Amino acid sequence: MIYTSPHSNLSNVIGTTAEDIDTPKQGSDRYLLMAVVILMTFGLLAVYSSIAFFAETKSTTAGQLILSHLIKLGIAFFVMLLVSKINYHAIAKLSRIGMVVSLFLLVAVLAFGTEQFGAKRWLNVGGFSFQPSMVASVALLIHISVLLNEKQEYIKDFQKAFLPIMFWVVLTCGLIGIEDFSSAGILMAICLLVMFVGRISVIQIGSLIAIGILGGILLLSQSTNRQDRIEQYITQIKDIPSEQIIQGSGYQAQQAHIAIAKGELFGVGIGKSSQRDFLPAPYNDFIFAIIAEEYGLFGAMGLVLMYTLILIRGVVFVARNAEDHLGSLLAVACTMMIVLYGFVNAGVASGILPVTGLPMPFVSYGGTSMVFAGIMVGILLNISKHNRNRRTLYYG
Amino acid sequence: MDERTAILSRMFIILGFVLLIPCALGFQLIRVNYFEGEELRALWSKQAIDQIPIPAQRGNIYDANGTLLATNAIDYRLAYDPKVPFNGGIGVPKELENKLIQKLATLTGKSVSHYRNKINSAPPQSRYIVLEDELSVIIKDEIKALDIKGVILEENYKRKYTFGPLASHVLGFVNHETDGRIGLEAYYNEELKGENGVRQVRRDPFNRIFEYIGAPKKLPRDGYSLHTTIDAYIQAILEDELKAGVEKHLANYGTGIIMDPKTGAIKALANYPTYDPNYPASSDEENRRNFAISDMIEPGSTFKLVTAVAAVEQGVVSFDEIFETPDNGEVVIHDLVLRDHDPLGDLSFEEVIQKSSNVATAEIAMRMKPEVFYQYARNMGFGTETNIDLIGEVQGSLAKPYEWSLVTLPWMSHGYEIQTTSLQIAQAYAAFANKGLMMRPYLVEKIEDKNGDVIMEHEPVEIRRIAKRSTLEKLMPVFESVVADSGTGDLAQVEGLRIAGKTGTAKKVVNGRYTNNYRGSFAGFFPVDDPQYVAFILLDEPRTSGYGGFTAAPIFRNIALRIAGLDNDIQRSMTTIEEEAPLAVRTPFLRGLSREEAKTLLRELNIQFEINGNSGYVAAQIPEAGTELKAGDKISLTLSETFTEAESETVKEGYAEIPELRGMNMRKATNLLADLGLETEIIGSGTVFAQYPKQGEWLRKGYTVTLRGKARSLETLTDATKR
Repeated sequence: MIYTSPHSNLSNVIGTTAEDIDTPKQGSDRYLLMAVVILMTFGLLAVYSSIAFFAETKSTTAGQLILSHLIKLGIAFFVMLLVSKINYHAIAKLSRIGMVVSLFLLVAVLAFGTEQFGAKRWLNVGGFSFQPSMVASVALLIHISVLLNEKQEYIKDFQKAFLPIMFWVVLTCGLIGIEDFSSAGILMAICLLVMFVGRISVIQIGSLIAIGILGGILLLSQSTNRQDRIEQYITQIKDIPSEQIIQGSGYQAQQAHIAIAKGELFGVGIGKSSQRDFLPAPYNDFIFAIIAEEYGLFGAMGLVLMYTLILIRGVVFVARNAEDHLGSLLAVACTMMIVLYGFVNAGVASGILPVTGLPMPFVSYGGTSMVFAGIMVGILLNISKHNRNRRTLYYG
Repeated sequence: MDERTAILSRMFIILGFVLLIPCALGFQLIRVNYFEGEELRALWSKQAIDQIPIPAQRGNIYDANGTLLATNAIDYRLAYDPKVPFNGGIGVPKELENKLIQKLATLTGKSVSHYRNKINSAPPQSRYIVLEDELSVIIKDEIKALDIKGVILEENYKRKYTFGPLASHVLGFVNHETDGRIGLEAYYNEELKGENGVRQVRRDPFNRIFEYIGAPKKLPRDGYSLHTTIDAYIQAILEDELKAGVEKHLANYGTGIIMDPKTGAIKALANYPTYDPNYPASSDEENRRNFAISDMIEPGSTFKLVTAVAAVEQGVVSFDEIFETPDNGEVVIHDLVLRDHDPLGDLSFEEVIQKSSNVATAEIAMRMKPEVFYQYARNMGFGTETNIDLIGEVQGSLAKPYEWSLVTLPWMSHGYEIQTTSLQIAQAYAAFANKGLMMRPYLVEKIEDKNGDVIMEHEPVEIRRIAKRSTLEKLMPVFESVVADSGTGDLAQVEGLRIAGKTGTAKKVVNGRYTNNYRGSFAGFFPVDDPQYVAFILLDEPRTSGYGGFTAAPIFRNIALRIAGLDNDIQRSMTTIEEEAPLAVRTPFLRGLSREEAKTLLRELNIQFEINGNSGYVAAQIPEAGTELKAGDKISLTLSETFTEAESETVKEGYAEIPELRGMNMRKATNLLADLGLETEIIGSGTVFAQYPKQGEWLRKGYTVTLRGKARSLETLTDATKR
């Protein structure tokens, strides 16, 4: 079991001042770490099973792709451990700069981004491509947590609290939403959850949601692609089409259903998925369906339980026991970010949500989401070290 | 409430809501698995599981002696997958690809660039490039030994006809799906085909076969084998002689059928020109036609059998009766002129058949009611299919009596105004040979499965009795006399073998008019005492002579001779014939005859002879024709490669030397002249007693030789030997 313990010499390594280096007397939350490792293992197996065809189209082999996945896992894990060593107060200090840089990146991706699957989401810097929307999401969540913490005195004030926070939220989500509606939507939802927890007025949030719904309808009317998805979602919820194979819209949802049904209780076995050949991006958007097929109902529920574990550990232990408001708010934001992405991906694959292209943190094939999920868990781990109860126990 | 409590309580509200999501996920997973599961899983089978056939092997075809006539050969398709994962990388390394191509090129004799082009011109993502379609096992093993990943070798069965064109019209051939198209392959397609097995495979979304699932769902049942009545030896003889005959007489095509009169078993059936069923597409469609069953012909004089059977059984003719035919050989019946080939003078009933008098045959037929004659024709199988086990048989056409005109009966009596198939005539003569019991002709004796268990065995089918046994016994010597020296079928004679038969010469109808193109035929059987073989030979439009006696009868003779050589029983009966004391005769005219013809003629005359030279034609004879021979005298013959080489100095291109024709009967003289390319004008009838130009003179081919005949000369050269 990987266990992060206090280490005083780390300051030399990461180049921060001695105060920034976290030296509490107890380690971080080991359940969180365990959940992450289990998710990563699930992901590794499912990606390996489902990536062969993708490898073929890229003129490479599954072996090479899985190697790159392993490297990304390693990087994410290292980043997670690294971040867990940095006192979250130090990160909070940099939140405004991070926010501004992210916004620049978002503008940059609109101008210079590379297109994949019909959307401009990737930015290529020195041969290293990543998704700025992920960077911006993390930066935004940290920043609003910081803002909420700062404005606790006058938090119910519309002008002094709600508007400044909403400025960043709307700006970031708007920029993301131009190319990636579903990411923007889920980010907005998480922000509102964090704002709610941060004691923003329910009336203000409620009015915003009402406006948001109107705005959503407006955005929907502009893209036939989105309308199609919603339409298909409605039919899919009403009745899983199982009479015949659907071609065209609805095909993905149906193939995912077939995968889940084929898995039954214990699955068809490791690497024996056949639906990977029929599902688009089985190593990413539909990885949950592949897991359900190969590991059955138990495997899929196990995966969902890992996210639930992160949720409960993150909220009930880390956020509740955090030493200050900032810790609680940050912990809620990070937890929600990881868990909701996971749940939405699972929801899409199992057919309770319309088809979106969100990755499953720690499981899907894809570097950017993996690294930023690592950062979020790193922050969570760091907050967990500053346990107010333990401190009372130790120092009180 | 302080800040912290408020934050915590709000936090737990959110937690509660978010916790609903995993619950919803769980419910959904259970719902999909248990409430929709069956249908979805069925859907999966539908989209990903496919059933492909495991091909059944087609049954073999054997001849009567168990010789394999048709079987299956395995060959291999060589495909190449250049994108196969290779040692962790993708794609076959270039040097291995070159090695494969070079090896293949040396094995097949094609060029390296031929295969290189095939690979290069394939679509870029292609993982299945066919390099060769029909590789032999030897080449396959060589390629397999290279052990290059990406080489795909697939078995396929190909129909193989062991003896190429032998019996091709009986066997037929198969198409690309190995379904029989014609012949036995088509008639017994269901039996031969077997049942394909079923194998389950999984396909990927691109419909490629991905993997085999488990053991075959159903094993294939291989096709049944046919054991035919065809005797490969006799078939080969028939084809050989038919080919020689068609080529010698420059005919359009020839047809031959040999059957067993007792059972109806077809021992051989051939048409020439023929084709190779291994490569059916490389032959003309006309060559693949089975004329024996699918061509309707007016039979001509062979049909006189019907008249003879009907007249004798009905008692309208007596064997003592003399039929007087006019001096010019012509009668007018209802404004239509009916001619004999030569004026034949007065004839007994036997001579009517022997010399094939149309005039007398018509007179005999007209003594019967049309209904009676029709019934005999019908009973003898005309106007209905024989129901032989082949595809494409036609029934011919026999008009009903009420449709007949006034001249139908006299003309039908000698084989006009009726359409038959060659097989129908063979069947009628088989019934005659079998003393009146007509058997259904058939080709398949036995059908066996792979383990040798009999699925079907043919029992000879009696169709009907065509006439009383006694009638046919009376007619037997009549038709045997046809093959006597004075008969029209004399060229069918085989020494020591008693043959009965009838010649047929029919003018062909083209576009509704009779033309000067003929069909010559001969139907006969042997040995007469106990007929074993019935044969019918037909040549379409022979250019040398229209007469069946001159074209088809020699073919029959050769076939009979060769079959006799195969059949021990017949051979035994032939060798026990007592030597007859030679008669004093005059030397016949032999110049121009082939070695075989000369030998046959001399043997029959019981004249001893010696032949110098091995092949070609008789160029000189000592003594000259017409010399009296005493018992024990020898004729010495000199053969030469070409007809006139012995006198090569006097040979003129396009000219023919006129032979001595005096003493011959008209028909023989006409045939001889036709063989030389000369026309004949006949004055009078019977035996030639004068000719112009004289023997030894040269005449340009196509010019006319005038012959004057004297009816019923009893001192003719050939008649002197009549037994």
